[in-house]
Amino acid sequence: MTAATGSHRTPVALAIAIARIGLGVLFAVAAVGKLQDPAQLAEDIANYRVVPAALVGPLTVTLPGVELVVGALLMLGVYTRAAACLAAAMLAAFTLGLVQSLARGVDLACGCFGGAPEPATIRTVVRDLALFGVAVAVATLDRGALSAAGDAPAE
Amino acid sequence: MRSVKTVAAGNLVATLRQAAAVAVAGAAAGLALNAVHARGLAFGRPVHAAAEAGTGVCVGDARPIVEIGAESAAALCNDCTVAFVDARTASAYAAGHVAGALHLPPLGHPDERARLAELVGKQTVVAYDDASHCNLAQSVAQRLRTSGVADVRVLAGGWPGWQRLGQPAASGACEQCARHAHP
Repeated sequence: MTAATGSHRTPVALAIAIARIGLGVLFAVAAVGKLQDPAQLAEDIANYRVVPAALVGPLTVTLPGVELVVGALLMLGVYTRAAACLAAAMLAAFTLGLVQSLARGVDLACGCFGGAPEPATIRTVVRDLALFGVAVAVATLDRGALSAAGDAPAE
Repeated sequence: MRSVKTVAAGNLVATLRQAAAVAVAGAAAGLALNAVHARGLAFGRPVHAAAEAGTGVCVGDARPIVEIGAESAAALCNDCTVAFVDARTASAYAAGHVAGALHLPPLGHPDERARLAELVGKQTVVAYDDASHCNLAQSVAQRLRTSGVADVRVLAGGWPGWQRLGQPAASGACEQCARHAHP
């Protein structure tokens, strides 16, 4: 029985479930926003100056898809632990990209949700760190259906 | 009987396997969505940062180009020896631009040389951007000056300023120039 899927929900389990669904919605919204304008997303990614020019295209094409699948799994509560781990990994990468750009004084749009340009600032970093914490909490406490860590050790 | 450590290690490996599978499935979904996207990205085409492409500078070390106010630029708009250059992204350009403006995007235009050739004979070129982030107009103006355009200006306030002063493409002031420049 898992923390958030069991029949005896505790306030903590309920909070984690809400966090999981919220994180899933956020990733899905971010993916849909990015899918609106691939050229803009490519420009945003390139401006971070972290990814080699040859890899910007592949990353631009695949990133929204991964975000969409991760978002859907988190919302549905299926393969939650794997999805939350991926979400945490992506958020960690986003945060590192933001920090190095800001440290170098590069003025750029974060490209987090596509659409209208959103300046990358320290607030963006704080937001990503907070979301990283949520993803780690979900990965740790909410295993969901079909997750690998659902079985308890034999006594 | 399995120990707690063994189970934990097994769960970790299984979770990582699942995460890898999710990532592969997501990447495949991204490829499929891009394939059917009306403005899908060319997968293998290198994409450079604006500064590296020479069409946009985010760090801001470009030599300043003289600015021109929107009202003065609007007056020049009636002169067909003046051209406007839009330094914003393709989507921003598509959403609205100064009538007759050429698009020289931050990442460079696929037919850059032909685009620049269209400016031959223009006495003055006014570059503009969205006046919010990188000095894209300044950088594009630098490039135009290097390409031989003698009088290059940057539109003060950019596209938002142009719109605020009621000088949008809808005024039609540049339509004749546009037809002249792009038959």
